[in-house]
Amino acid sequence: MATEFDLMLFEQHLAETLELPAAARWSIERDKSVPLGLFATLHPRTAPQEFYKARIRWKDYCTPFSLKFINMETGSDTDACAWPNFEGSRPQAFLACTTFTEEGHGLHPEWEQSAFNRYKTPEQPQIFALLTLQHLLDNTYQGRGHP
Amino acid sequence: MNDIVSGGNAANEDTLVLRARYAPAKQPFVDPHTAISETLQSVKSRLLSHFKLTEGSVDGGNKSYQLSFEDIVQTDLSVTVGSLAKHGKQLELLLVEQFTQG
Repeated sequence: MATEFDLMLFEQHLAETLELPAAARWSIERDKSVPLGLFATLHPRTAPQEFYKARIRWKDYCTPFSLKFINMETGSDTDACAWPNFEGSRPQAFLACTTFTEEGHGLHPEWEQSAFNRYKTPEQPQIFALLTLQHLLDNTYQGRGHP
Repeated sequence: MNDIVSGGNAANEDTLVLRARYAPAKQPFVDPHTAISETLQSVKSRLLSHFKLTEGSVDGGNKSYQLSFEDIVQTDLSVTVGSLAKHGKQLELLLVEQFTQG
């Protein structure tokens, strides 16, 4: 549940995110259907013509975020073709199974019990999410997902 | 801004402005007097120290970090910052944690 402080911080962070030099590569919009959410359209360094629309949502701003890739025409979040293949990405399961996502921790509750895999709340969760995602796309991208 | 000043006696042509971001940290590392002869390995050590990070065995796994320049992971850490900053006197790096995937 987002607190008033979370909401204030989220708006402040969104402004900071948009000022980041790396943001020139992204198209960012607020996901107005939830208190703490945004959409970001990104592309891998090695495939600049391949665009992916990420939906990033926090239930609680201190916890791992939910990551889904959205079909840009239909808005579906269950289209494997809308997902990029990158380290941790599971297009056919519509999730990224990694230690910074809500979906990863949902599948691996044991992660929270280890110092190695436990989620450490970043100082600026939006910038953390986007820089991490962009880095994975730039360095581990292996093409578009298939059904 | 967490400016770290070092090598104050070095001539300007022998130094560059280093900026490095670590995604979970709000403020980037900035050193306006980084010797162009400094290797990425040395820079990485300084960044790990600055951001209070440790590589190696941690409960449940082996923690490691990578340096990225112009969106590409740098695998040869023996190169100098001067050789990367071919144009201009600035260098921007990203320090990235290696995450577990399930």
